[in-house]
Amino acid sequence: MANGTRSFDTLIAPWLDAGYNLARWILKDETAADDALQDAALRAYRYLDSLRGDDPKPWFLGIVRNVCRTHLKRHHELREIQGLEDAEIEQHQWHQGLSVEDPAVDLSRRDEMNKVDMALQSLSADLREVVVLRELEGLSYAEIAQVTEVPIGTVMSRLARARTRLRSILLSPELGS
Amino acid sequence: MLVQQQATRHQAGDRLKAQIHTAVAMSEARTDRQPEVEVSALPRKPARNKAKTGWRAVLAPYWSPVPAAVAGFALGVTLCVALLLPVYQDHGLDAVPLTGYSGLLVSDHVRALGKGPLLDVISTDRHTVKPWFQGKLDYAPPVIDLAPAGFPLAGARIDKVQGQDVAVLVFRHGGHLVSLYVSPATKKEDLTFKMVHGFQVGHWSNGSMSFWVVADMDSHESTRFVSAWFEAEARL
Repeated sequence: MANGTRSFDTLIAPWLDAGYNLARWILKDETAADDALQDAALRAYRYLDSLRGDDPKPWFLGIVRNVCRTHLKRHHELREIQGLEDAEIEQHQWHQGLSVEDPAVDLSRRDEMNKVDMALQSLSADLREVVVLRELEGLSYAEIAQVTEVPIGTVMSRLARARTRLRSILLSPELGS
Repeated sequence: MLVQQQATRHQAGDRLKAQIHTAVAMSEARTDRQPEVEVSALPRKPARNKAKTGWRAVLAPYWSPVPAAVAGFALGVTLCVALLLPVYQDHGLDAVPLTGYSGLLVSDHVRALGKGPLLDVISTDRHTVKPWFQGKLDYAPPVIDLAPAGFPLAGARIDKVQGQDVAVLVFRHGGHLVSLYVSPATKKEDLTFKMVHGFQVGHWSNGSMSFWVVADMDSHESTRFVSAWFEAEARL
């Protein structure tokens, strides 16, 4: 009878938190992440057959990422996606504490907020997502390549650039680490 | 690495997970559910044991397809075995056991969304749903379509809760599904609401019938549902 929902419970439901975490980190907005996770979950349910014997976690996270990217594009944040090394953009974002579209944080709470979270938030989407997938979701380089649809070499170089960025942010005098 | 240790791992809340399960169940109901009249014509299906989880393996020995020759609504109602399962273990909800009558109803609602059946009779017409209960229950639940208020009737089912057969009316509201449990009562009770595992659970009694509503909506929407019911009931 309800075969589909039973497969959903086995294959996708265990990864809803991981999907939500990724969506939150990419979109930096709670409401948008809620919507993205719902869209991704429904899409995953609809295309469950195409999964076959593959590992459902990276497969589902790939769907979440695609949904988020579409959302970002739709909201004219191409500059963020392209990960421009534009010093101006990054400086602006950093001095604001975060990008403006994060309603969860206001500048007066800057000091209370987790410094690592702030640093991660200030990365461009391209760099941020590989860090989240590697450090928070524990995916292998190959799995990250699958989720982000870029070659493994690109994954590795993005991770290296992200680590350098994070290190310089966290050691910067503004944070007083 | 610092990020691994200190960065926030966001979690999808219970309510978001409940909404997702509802949306998936609605998708399933749209494509998979057979209307009651066709159920007895479906071919027998042998039990299949392919799933890795415990569910199919547990149910498989009890799986008994309904022979087409069996007449009558009662058996046409469901292909699934009427097996009283313990609290539905859903990966998306907390493993904390649900307590109290409201807990039982939330489990039942979730089970109906997941394993199913969500609906034993599919109809938006109360003149079809109300008579459907005859002969299956020893009481006649009121049936109202709340479509004008934005909560169209989707159909109904009968579930066993604490050994008793209970009428359940099912309504849609956007991407949400509402289960309204109706059973006979003797005393009046004022409307109360509480949140149970991400679901809004409301309860009241008008002295002759007791009502429990379970939905993954917020309290504002749940209150609107109940108001719509009261208004429509007054006009009956």
